[in-house]
Amino acid sequence: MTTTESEGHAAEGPARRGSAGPQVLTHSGDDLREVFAAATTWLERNAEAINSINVFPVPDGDTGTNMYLTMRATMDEAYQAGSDAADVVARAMARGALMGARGNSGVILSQALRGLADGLSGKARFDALDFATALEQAASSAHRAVRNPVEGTILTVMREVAVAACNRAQMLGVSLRSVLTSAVAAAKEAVAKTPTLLPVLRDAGVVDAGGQGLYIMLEGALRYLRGDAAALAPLAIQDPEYTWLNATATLHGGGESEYGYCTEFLVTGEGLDAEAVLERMVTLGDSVFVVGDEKLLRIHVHTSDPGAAIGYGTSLGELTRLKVDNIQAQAEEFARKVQAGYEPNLAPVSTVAVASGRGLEDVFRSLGVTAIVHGGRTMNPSTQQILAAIDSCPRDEVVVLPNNKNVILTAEQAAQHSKKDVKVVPTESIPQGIAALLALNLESGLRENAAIMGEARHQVRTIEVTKAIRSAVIGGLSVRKGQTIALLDGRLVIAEDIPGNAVRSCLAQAVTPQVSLVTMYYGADTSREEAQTLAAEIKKEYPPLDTEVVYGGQPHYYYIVSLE
Amino acid sequence: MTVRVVTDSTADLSPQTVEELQITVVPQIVMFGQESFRDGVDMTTDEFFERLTKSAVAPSTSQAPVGAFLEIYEALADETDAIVSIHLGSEFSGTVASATAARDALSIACRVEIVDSHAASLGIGFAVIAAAKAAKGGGSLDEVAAAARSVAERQYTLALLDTLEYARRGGRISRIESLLGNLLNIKPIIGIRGETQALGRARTRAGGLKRMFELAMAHPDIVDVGIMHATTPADAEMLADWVRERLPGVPIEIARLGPVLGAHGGPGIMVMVVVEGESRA
Repeated sequence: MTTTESEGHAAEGPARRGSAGPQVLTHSGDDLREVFAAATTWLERNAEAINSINVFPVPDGDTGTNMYLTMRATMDEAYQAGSDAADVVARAMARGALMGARGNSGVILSQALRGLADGLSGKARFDALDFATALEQAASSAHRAVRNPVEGTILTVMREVAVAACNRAQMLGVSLRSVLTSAVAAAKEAVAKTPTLLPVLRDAGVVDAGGQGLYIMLEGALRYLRGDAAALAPLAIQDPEYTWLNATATLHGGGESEYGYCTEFLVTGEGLDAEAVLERMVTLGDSVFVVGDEKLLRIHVHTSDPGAAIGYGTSLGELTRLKVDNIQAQAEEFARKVQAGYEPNLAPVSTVAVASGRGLEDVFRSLGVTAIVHGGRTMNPSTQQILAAIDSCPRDEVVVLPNNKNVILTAEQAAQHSKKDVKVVPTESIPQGIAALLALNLESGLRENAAIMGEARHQVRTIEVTKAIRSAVIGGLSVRKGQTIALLDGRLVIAEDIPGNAVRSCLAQAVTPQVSLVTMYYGADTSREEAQTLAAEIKKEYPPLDTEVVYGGQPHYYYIVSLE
Repeated sequence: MTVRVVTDSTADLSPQTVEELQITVVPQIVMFGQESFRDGVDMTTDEFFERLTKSAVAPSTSQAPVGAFLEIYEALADETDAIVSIHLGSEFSGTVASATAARDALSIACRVEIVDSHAASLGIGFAVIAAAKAAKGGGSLDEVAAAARSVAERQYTLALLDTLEYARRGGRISRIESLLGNLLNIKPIIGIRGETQALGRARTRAGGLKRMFELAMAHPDIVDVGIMHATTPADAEMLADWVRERLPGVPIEIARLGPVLGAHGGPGIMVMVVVEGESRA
C-alpha cells in the first residue's frame, strides 16, 4: 500500500491535527479500496464458517454468503469509481453496497458503508482519525437502518469497534494499522459477548453470525495492512456449492438470455474433465458454468437444446439433480397473463413477489402478481434485483411482498431507492405472501392496499418442513443433523424422522376451530403421491378441514403449509 | 289516482313487503331441462335449491314473457292510470325489453314508466320499496320513477360465490375469471352494478364473508343494508350482527335469494346490498 507523508496542509488532504504534531500518514482512495478488497477476500474465505453459525438449523439465507455477495458488489463499484479520491471511492462503495445488499446482514452492512462514505465526505485523503470517525458514523448509520435495533448483533459489534477505533485514534501519530488493531480486538471481544446479550444465541450456543462477519472483515483489512499477502491469495475453487451459488447468482442477476432453457445437473463419474465439459457447453449456449472435480461436476447452461446438454452429460456419467426451466415460456406465460387483462387493466397497483420454486412462482403468477424476484430462504435476492423488478412494473405504485424475514430489509431498501411509490408489506412466508396478494383490493390505491394486505398476512399460519442442517438444541427441542424439522410461524416446534409426520405433529399444535383450509405446497424433493397421501390422512384426522395439494417445487423445503 | 309499482321476482322482496306496499311482482321463469316454472308461483325457493343441488340438468332462467307483463299492466290499468315498472338490470337479462314491449302493446290508456335498475336482488328491491313508498305518499308518476332511479344509483351489490361452477355454466364470468387463476381454489367477491366486476377474492368462506363485509362497509353514509342468502341463513344472521355493531340504527333487510341469482351463483352464494344516502347521489 502506498502512503504519503503529510505536509501539514496538503491541498488534497484534510486539515492536520496538532500544529507541531508528529508526522501523520494519510491514505488515498486506492488505499481504501485495497483495504476493503482484502476485507472482502478474507470474508470470502470464511463465508462458509460464518454460514454455519445459524441459530436455527434450517437451510436459510446464509449470513456469510449474503455479506460476501454484498461486499463483492461493493468492490465492483469501488473499482469503477474512476478517481483516486477517498471520498469518491467511498461513495462508489456505498452505492455498490446499496444495490448489491442481500439479506438483513447485507442491508445493515450497506447502511454502514453509507455512513462511512458520509464520514469521509470531502476528504480526498484520510488519516487514522478520519477513518475512526467514519467508523463511528458507519455504526450510527447502521443502527438507524434497523427499525428495532437489538443488542448482541452486528450493530453492537459495530458500535464497540467504532468506540475502540476512536479511542485509539485520539492518540497522536497513530497509524491506520494500529487503529485497526484496536478495532479487531474490540470486534473479537464484542462478538464473544453476543450470546450474553441475546438469549436466542445463548440457547443455540452460537455467536452472532453478522457480528462474526464484521470481525472477519476487519481482520482481513488488518492482515492486509500487516502485509500478510499469503493469507489473501485468491480463493481456489474448493467448495463447489459455494462457488456455484456466487456464479449462478451473477448469471441470473444479469440480462435476458437469448436461449430458452436454463439447464442444470450434476454428473458423477470418473476422470471428469471440467475444461472439456466447459468447451462443449459453450457450443450449446451461454451463461455456462462448470464446477467440481474429476468425480463430480455441476453444470449450468442456458441453451435452446437442453436435450443435447443432457445427452452429453449422460455420456460422461450418472446424472442427478437435473433441472430444466423454460425461460421463454415463463416470460411468454407472463406476457399472456398481462394481456389477459388482470394487469394492468384491473389492478390499480403493481405487485412484486419474492419466491423460489417453479410451482410457487406459477401460483403467484396465476393470482396476478406483476413481477417475481427469484429467491427466498436459501438465496436471498439483492436490493438491485428487487429494484429491477419494481422498475419493470407498468404501474407507478408498487407493493413488494418479500415472503421471507431475511428479505424484508432488502425490499425496504429497494423501496426507498425506487423512483416509484413503493410499499413493502412485510410478509414472512409464502403463505403470508399469497394471503396478502389475494387481499389486493382492485378499488383501492397503494396506501390502503398496503394496510389491507398487511392485515391479511396475519390471517394465515405457516408451517415449513425441512431438514436440519446441523444438530442443535433449540427451545428445549433436541434436533439431530439430517432430521426433519417443522417450523410454525418461524418457530421450531417439531423434530421428526418423516416429513409427513412432521406436518401432522405440527398441525396437532396449530389447528383451531377457526382453521377451515389447509393448503400444502410440496417441494422439489417431495412427490405428488406423497403429498396427496398426506392430505388424505389429514382429511381423515380433521374431517371439517378442506385440504388442497399444490405443487410448489421449492428447494430444501418438503412442505410449506398454509392454515387459514 | 295512486301510482302503482311493478317489479319482477328477482327483486327478492318478502311477501310481507309486497303485501304492505301494494307491489305487483311478475314471476321470472326457471327451467330444469324441458320443465319450466314461474319463480315463486309454481316453485318455492326451497324447492328450487333442493333441485339445484340434486339435479343433473343445470337450471336456466329466462325473463318473464311479454304476455305476463301485458296481463299485469292491463289488470292494474283498471285501478290506475300510471305504473312504474322497475326491473332486473338490462346487463343481465332481457326483462326490461319484455316490459317495454308489453307497454308498447298496451291498448288501454295508462302511462307505464319502465325503470332499468342496472341491479339485481335487493339492489332492485330497495329501489322498488322507495318507489312504492313515494307512490303511497301520493307521488306523481315522475316522482315515483325518480325515487326508484335515485336508489338504484345509490345502491351497491356485492356477492360472495362459494364456487364458480354455477357461474361457469351460465357463461357469465370471463371478467371475473382472470382474477382467479387456476391453481388454487378461490372464492371470488363480485360487484353487481351495471356490469359484473371482480372486487376481491378469498380462500375460505369465513375470510370471504369478512372481506365482503369490509368492502361493503367501506361505502360512505350507508342508509340501508340488505343481506341475502340462498341456503345459509346462519351466515346471513352473522353478517347482520356485524352490520348492527358497525352501523347501529341502520335498517337491515334479510332476504332469501331467488332462483335467478341462485342458479348463477350456486347454493352457497351470499349477497350484500348497501344504499348510500341521498347526498351521495
